[in-house]
Amino acid sequence: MTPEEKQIWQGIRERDGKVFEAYYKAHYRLFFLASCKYLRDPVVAEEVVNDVFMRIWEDALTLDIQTSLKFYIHRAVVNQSLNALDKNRRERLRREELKEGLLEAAEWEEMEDNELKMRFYKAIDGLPDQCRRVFKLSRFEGLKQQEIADRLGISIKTVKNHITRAMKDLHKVLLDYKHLPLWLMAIKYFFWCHH
Amino acid sequence: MQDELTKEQELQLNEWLDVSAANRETYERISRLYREGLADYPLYAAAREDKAWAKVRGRMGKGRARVLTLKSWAAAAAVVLVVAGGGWWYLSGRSRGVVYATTAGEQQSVSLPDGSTVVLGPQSHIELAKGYDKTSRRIELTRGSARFEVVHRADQPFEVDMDAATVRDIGTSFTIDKTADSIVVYVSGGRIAFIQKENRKSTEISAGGAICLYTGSRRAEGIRETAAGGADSLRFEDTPLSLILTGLEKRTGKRIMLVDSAVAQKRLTVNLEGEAFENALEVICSSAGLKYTIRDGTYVLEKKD
Repeated sequence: MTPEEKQIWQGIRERDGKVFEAYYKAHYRLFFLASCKYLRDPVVAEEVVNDVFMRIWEDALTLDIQTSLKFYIHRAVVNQSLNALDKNRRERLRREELKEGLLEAAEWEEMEDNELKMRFYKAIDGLPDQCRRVFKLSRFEGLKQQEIADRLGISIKTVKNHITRAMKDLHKVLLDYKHLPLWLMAIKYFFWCHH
Repeated sequence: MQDELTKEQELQLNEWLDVSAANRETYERISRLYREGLADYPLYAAAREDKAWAKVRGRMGKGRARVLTLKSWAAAAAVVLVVAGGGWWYLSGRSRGVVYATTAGEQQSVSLPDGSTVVLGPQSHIELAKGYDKTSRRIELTRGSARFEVVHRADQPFEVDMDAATVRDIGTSFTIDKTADSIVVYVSGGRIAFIQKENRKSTEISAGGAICLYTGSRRAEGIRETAAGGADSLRFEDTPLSLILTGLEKRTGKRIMLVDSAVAQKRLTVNLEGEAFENALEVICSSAGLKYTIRDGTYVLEKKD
């Protein structure tokens, strides 16, 4: 555990509801999306995440978490999501996992991918309204720049400006991730691919 | 992708990719993520942690055992006693038993309603069965160490339940140290019956005796018993530290506390006969990589920095 996680875990073990609430709220979407990946049902995914957190809260004093708290919860959410699937689907997924060799390293990788997605989504949410609207139409609805301009009643130059602004903001957030020049990829996938 | 970059950008990307295989792997993963993995943004955007938290919050006060650390228990008990009188009974009548737990470095004494007492060591956790002292006197020791001073009652035995064994008193003072892979019981007064759940084998241990059951990966070693009287000696051979400290406590009447219960099962071979108490502690500390300080009359052992 990182020192920060140790402090949080100690707080939870000492029944500090505020610490527990803050941790839950800061990580809910990460675990929720991890569950949705398997369940494809947001209602059940929410129940799974809540069940896991309840278990953490109730059993904190007896749990012996050797790795990271976040990894422990992520793994518990994935396992519980698999358990919540119907048997046939669960078996199919298990077989696929076995083929891919879902070892601890792969589980870490899955969590890191989810975390990267979270950073990205948070960055999108942090964009100014119109900029976010333009970006979402481009990335998630696949509209071309002219189509966006027409839909929002703005010029194509404004659309380009918004996307450039979005790329800069996303670049700031993502650049520190493993020192990867992500903006190069971002340019490809979020800008040039959708016009 | 590189085809769509300027020469400068392409150079920058290639330089970064050439730094390590890990970089190339990360690049592949993230490329895949961008291509395939961002379809769940609508779910992310629709998620409401406040709403979800309200459901967790609603469940937090219900169901499972009431868990009170000993510090909070002291405050809670005072309030309940003033309001209802006999507050302990009130709590023990709930759907599940009351839980007592200590944190690292904490050692606390609990008086039970039948007059017995439990002194919990650091990072220890016990749960009293529902209806304790009414229908049974059963306590579950989930982890850590606890010293029991039991008021014996022939009609209602006092039992400490663990995952692999049960200890039943027969007029008794005893200490249990439970770790992930062993259960050690040292009997300082009276007698106990130590019952292994796996084979229902019952072993009676008298004052001065001890028993150790390996429950983890070292299970093949099975049970190891020290006969009464044997534990009075301060010569120890391949003996768990917890047992050595208990023996030393018994001989000297001093109180010793081990902060890190994980060290309790470290095995030592030492001869402390004829040593002054503090010299004996120094021998133990240097053998086990520990140091000791004296706090409120208790000798506290912890790992060296």
